[in-house]
Amino acid sequence: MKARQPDPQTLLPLPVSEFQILLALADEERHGYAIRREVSERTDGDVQLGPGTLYGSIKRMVNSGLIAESDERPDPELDDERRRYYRITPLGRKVAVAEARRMERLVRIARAKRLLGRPEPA
Amino acid sequence: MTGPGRARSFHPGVVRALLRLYPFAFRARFGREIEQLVRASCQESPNADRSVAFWAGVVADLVTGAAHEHIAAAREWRRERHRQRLARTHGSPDHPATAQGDGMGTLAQDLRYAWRTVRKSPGFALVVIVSLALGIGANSLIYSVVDGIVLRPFPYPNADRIVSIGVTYPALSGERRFIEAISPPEYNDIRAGSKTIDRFFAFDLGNRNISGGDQPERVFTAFVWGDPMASIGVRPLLGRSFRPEETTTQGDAIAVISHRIWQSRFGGDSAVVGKSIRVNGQPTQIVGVMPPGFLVVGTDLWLPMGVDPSAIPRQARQWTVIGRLRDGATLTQANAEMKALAGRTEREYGRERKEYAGWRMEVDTWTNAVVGEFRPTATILLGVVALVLLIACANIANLLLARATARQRELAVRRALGAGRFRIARQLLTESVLLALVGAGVGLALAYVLLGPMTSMFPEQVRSAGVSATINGHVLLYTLAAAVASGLLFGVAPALQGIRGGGREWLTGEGAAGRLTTSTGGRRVRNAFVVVEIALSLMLLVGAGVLLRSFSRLQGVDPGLDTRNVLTMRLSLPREQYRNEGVGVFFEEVSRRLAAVPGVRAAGATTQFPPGNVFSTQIAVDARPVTGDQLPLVDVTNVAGDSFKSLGYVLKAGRLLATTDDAKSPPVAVVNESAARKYFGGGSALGRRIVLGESKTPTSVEVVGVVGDVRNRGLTQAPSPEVFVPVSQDLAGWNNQLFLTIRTQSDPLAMLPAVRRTIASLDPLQPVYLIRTLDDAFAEAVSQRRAAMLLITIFAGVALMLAAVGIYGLMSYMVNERTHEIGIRMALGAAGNDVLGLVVRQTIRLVTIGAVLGIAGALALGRALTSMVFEVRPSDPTTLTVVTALLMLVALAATLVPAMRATRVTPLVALRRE
Repeated sequence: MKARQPDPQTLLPLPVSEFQILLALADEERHGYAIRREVSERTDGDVQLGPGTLYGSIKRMVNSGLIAESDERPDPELDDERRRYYRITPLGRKVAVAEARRMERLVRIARAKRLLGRPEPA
Repeated sequence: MTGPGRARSFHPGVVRALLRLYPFAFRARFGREIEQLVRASCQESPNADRSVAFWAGVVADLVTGAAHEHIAAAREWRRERHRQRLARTHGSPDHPATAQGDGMGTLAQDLRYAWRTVRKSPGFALVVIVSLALGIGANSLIYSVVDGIVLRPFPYPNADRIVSIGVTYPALSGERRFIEAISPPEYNDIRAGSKTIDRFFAFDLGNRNISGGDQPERVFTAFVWGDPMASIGVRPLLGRSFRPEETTTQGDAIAVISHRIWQSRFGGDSAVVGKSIRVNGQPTQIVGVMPPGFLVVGTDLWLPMGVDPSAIPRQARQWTVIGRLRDGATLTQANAEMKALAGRTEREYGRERKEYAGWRMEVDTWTNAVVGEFRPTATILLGVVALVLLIACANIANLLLARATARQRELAVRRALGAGRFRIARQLLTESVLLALVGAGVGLALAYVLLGPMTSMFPEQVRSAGVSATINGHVLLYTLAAAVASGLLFGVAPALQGIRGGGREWLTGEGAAGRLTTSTGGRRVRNAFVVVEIALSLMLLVGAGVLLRSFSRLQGVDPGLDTRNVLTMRLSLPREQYRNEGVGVFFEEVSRRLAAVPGVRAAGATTQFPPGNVFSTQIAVDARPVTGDQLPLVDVTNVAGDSFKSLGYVLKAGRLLATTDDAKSPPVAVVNESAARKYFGGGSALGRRIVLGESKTPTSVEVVGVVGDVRNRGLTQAPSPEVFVPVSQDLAGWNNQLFLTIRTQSDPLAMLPAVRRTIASLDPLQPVYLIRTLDDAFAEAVSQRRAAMLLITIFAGVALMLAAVGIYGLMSYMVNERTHEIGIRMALGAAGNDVLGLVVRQTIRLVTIGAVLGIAGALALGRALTSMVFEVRPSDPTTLTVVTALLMLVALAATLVPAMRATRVTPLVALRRE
């Protein structure tokens, strides 16, 4: 029995951990540890996904179809151990875009209300 | 990406241990990956001293993660289970109903479905509800009566700890008595000799006039030693109760009044404490009011005895002794103690007091002492209504089974759609219990309505003690239990059928055409139910028949008197105003004046009259003490005026007592035939001398007359030897309470106003009470038997009716079921009579089997009825025969309609049922 595709809007707002995982998988497939490292580096250590949080989210996201399990293969940058890789699904992409757009709208409003000045130089 | 610096040591054991916190599924799926992740994190480049923080973080994260997973798993499991349940009922998980998320939804669903089904067939529901209303209603009614009279007649806290002392004197009458049976010195002995019981109190019963204010009123009075309220454990509503020490000495005249008297006579005046009233003319101060609903044998007034128990003779056995079991003490211990005490008393006093030979003292709860005699009847009645309910349940089970056959197609459809067997069975059971609850509701309403008339059937002694029956919480609980039990009982068979039935064959071909019949197994079950009904009905009918015969025998007993048109009432003269001769003078005068009233044929006074004799005393003949195992006892009755004539005694020899036999003439007495036979051998009693009672100065009395025997102790007992003595000559006596007996020309009660006026002309302050006719007195003596007989007969009738309905239903159904077969028979040449014979033979067979079982049951249980029957054997053959014939007749009558219908079946119609 094929489950109908849920409307991305119904899944918003995404929990922080789930959005970060989607971002991490947006450009390439990764395994659990790689996801954790990518998120940590990208946010300069602000967001640290612990093992329980990470895999709890992964489980939920696989169940709702945002990400999917890929194959198992060793990571060339780590040891020879085989690791499970994950990839983003088209639905997951749509949801990530929707969430990003939502945040963009929020930022616009914040700017309009003069909470935010012009973007600072990086 | 391992950088320089020491790597953290990885402890796989820790991770694995923490992983055990997770649900198995999660662990199986992600366990390895999590281990990998933690190991890889360990091998990152951070400073070594962040190791603790790192591990702390890992532990915290894994623990909270585990908690989340468990919660999510539980929620998911519940949702999945509900989805499955709904899928099974509605055959599809996509049914809109599956959208509901309520766990209790299934019970509500069952109830709604049951309600719809019941409403679709109102006729069937009506029959079921009426049967149940009768069956359960009867149970509620009887249980409420049993609860009110036998189980919890007194609203005392801890009523099972309140005990009374009962005594048995084998040398006297042999019966155990609790009430008015113990003397004051014996009371002292008991109090001193008991370690298991304390807080004793004792009381004598009598009547007193209350006046002061308006009408003088006669009230039932208790003369008390001790404090009844403290013993039983209640607090006075107003004021105080007695202090035990003030009851044993002559002190101020004080009194405690009952709540109902406080309301009726004193208008509920809150300042009544301290008020003075006149008790038998003496000023008395009210010191307290009893709490509502509290009575001790229905006494409305308590007075202190005012004298020490040791001052009263040992043989004056008129007191009742009550106490409270000490904490931790048991009835068995108390009994052992009293047994020993009785033995000691016998050894100490046995030589001078012959009555102590072999005497016993026992302890039982006060409740048992008062209402114990009703227990056997109560148990029998409870059994009877339970049987009636069983019959009703069998009927309903049969009905439901028949319907279940008709519903097979519905069941088959539901099964095909995916509903589980047990689901269907449970739903059918819910239907049954729902019907039972509705029936119970109606039954309860019936019981409520009938409770009033039932209460009027209670024996007088119970009603005057303030005992009543109501629909209270216990009754409601009992009714609910009966309803649920019945529902489950008659619902089981159809539910089982629901599980086994509903196969595919009902959806196609023969089943759809309605020509499939249920298996022979089903038919056997239905037959079995009807046989059981017949057997049970027969048992009840036999019981009723035996009781009816017994009662009519009792009615046929000749009392020995002409009981018609005799008015009786009681009058107690206060000792303060009427001493010794004054009593005799009063009653002789009042009898004379009453005899002069037009419409009165004879009038007299007596201390006791049939069937209610209670006073007896020892007798010695010709100055010789009579020997034997039993002490020689006679009923002794003091009479005045024309007592013999008014009651209707027949003179057999010598003369009756007359007004001339007074204090100045020689002491004389009249005896009855039984006394003459027993104590004077064959010879004439006239002229012989007897000594009554035991006093220090025995008076010899001459027998001057003999009267015919009368059933003085009740219709069921042989006449008791009796001696009659004039009131005027009874100087030692305490007897100031006599009954007036007035034989009238026509309706006795119509003479009442004239009688009152006459008495008032002699003493306006003397009220009369206990007014009833002699016929009433004899009727009351058998009132318990009559009530039981009536009830059991009514219930047997109901049972017979239910069984008839059951037979009718079964035969009707059988004819319906076999219409096809009957049609074929008739097409093949069978005549209407043959078909009729077919049906009738079936009925006779069932009734015969049922009757045999029923008779066996009746013989087995017959012994239970022996206490209630009089001169009839419980296995009386006449009754058995008549009842069986009656049952057969009714059964055949019930079969008539279906049988006629069978003969009218035309072959064409029957065969067309294709």
